[in-house]
Amino acid sequence: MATDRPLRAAHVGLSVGHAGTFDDSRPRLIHDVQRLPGVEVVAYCETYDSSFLDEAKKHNPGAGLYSDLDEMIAKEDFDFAAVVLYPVDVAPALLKLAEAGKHFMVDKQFARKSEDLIPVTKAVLRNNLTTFMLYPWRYHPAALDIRRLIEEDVLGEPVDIESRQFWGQVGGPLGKDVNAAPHRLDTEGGGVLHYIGCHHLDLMRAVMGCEVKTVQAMTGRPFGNMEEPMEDIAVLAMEYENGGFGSLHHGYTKPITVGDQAYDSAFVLRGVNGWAEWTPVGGDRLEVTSASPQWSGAPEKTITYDLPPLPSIVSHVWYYIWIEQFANDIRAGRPGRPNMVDGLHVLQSIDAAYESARTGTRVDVRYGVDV
Amino acid sequence: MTDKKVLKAVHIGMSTGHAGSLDSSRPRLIRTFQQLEGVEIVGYCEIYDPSYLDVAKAFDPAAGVYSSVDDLIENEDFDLACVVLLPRDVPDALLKLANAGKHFLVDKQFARKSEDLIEVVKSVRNSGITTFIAYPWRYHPAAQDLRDMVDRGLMGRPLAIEANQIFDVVDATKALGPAHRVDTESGGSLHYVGCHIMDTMRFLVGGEVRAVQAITGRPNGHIEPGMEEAAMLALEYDNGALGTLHCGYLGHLGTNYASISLRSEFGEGYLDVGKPRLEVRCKAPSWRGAPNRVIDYDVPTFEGIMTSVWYHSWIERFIDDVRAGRPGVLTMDDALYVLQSIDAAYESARTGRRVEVQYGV
Repeated sequence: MATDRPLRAAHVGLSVGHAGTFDDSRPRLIHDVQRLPGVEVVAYCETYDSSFLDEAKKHNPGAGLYSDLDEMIAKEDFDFAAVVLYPVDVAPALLKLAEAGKHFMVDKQFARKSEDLIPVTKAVLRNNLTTFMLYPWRYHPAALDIRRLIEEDVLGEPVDIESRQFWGQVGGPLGKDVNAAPHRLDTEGGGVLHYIGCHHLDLMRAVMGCEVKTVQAMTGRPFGNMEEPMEDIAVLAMEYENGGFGSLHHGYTKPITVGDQAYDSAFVLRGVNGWAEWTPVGGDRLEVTSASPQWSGAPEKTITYDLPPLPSIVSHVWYYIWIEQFANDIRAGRPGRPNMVDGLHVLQSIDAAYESARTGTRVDVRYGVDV
Repeated sequence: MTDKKVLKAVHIGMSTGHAGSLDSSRPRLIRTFQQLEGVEIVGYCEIYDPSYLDVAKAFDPAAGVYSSVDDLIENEDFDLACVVLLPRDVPDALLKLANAGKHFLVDKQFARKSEDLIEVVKSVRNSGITTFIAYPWRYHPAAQDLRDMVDRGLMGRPLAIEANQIFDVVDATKALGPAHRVDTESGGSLHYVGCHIMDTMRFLVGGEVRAVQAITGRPNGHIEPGMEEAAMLALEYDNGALGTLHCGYLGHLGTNYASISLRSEFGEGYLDVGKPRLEVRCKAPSWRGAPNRVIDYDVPTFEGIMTSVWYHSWIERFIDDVRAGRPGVLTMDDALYVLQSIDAAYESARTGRRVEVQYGV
């Protein structure tokens, strides 16, 4: 790809949450793509609510407007797409983009089931496309520091990892709208593990440096407001490919009212030489303890990060620079990271957890496009 | 039994950790018993290292000293025993005590396998004796308060509980100790320390573990094969709540901590086990004026096991239960149940299947 002309971008999906607004009222991906240096937004596609196309027209009169992705691909000249759709519609859209040789960045979740992503992944690999999956936490400075401390032997080879994350109840007097897209079986494909647990599963594999090998899981529906079998709570025991172990405990359990903290979370990584706690995930504080001789003078350290804000998805500069990296990866012909294969692997581990919960057996996760 | 009588107590086991010293150098259960009102120590039994009996004799010349539990029971007149032995030897001693109608307080772990406790439980039930199982954390004021909030309906139905328990890595030297050997302990971090958290979790949730899926392993590889350094448990309780326990010998530089979070319909409670603080968020109407609370406890110290008055008061309660002929608050059945849930976790880890816990004798 030539590096001396602007990249042409298209948005696929304007009405779903993380697309955000054109104005400053809710800055998300639309703002980020607009801000990217050397990128020109040339088209918008919205399949759910055509009024969003009217808004796009007002904001960018020169851009093409489409209510059908096939039509946009046929008529519009663009290099990459920013895709924000319901999971049920993501995989078909990505497949069309990949078969047309279009690079893409895509908001989670990427499909209802991992099997839906296999033809997409094959097309991405076949056409050497650059992809960027919106799992942000692996790129937070604290997560990058944990990984660096592992590689520098301060923490040493990862031995175990803990994750917990609790969001508001779904349905009921203290819960969120049970009819919203993330909580319906026809659009999402799973409950708390599928919708938000995916973020921590990607963070965990990025920090561990390997995949989940095997999983034993239980899921439950103590509120039962969502359709069966969508779970309110998921608890996972995992073994990783490096011989380390992990647990994950996520739930839609918090009784939320106005003014409450939306969620709480915790994250701990232990290596053969020390441990690191990043609680809450996304916070500005990392606590590290190491028995490594390198740290004998100060075995306990607390790192506090100054995180510049940005009107952007995830609201901070630290993530936006990785979106810039995606554009640079397109120019350089690199595959991007986390890419479509990462997206597939996370979803394959989630599906394995659901299989374990359903069957009551330990499940070895099968990865790749040939399963 | 009348409430006027001085109770005669014996110690069975002096050389194992939580027995502690006769003097103030390492105060544990022996020091605790010295301070119980209306209790007289009349005998000591030590089966591993006879030198401890010399020390006991020098300290308390009037007391009987024994190197055999059978001799102690046959020759000494006593009401209750304080038992601190290696898990391998605990069931045999407890069975003899129960068959002889002697009440007892016993330090964990209570057996290598739950099946070894079944005859003990039957005998305890038959003889109607009082027992006290030394799982302390449910008695901590923070745990008591959190459970009380659940009992009063403030928190609503318990939905989920997550816990961890992390101790330092058991290195090659420590792995030779009795707490880390198959012949004496039979299990790793879950068996030796995780048991405490398993009991506290069932107390806070208000139910027993119905089913467990577990993965265990030896990521550091120091401890004997068959004993785990790390245990990851997914749990379902019989009231429908789900839980996780993440425990292991995985820390460094003196790590010893545990934490528990209880998630309920209307609220959440968090405690660092043993720390004098409880954090609660609650949506109950009566808490509308202050829905988020942090309770800090002033915890008076005590020269005895757990070094705190809060636990000593429950051991005093055990003495009261003996006098009143009550079975005790935390009984041999509780010890059996916790160990049966642990054995179920090991079975799950071994077979890769969800295991329904089989409780009872």
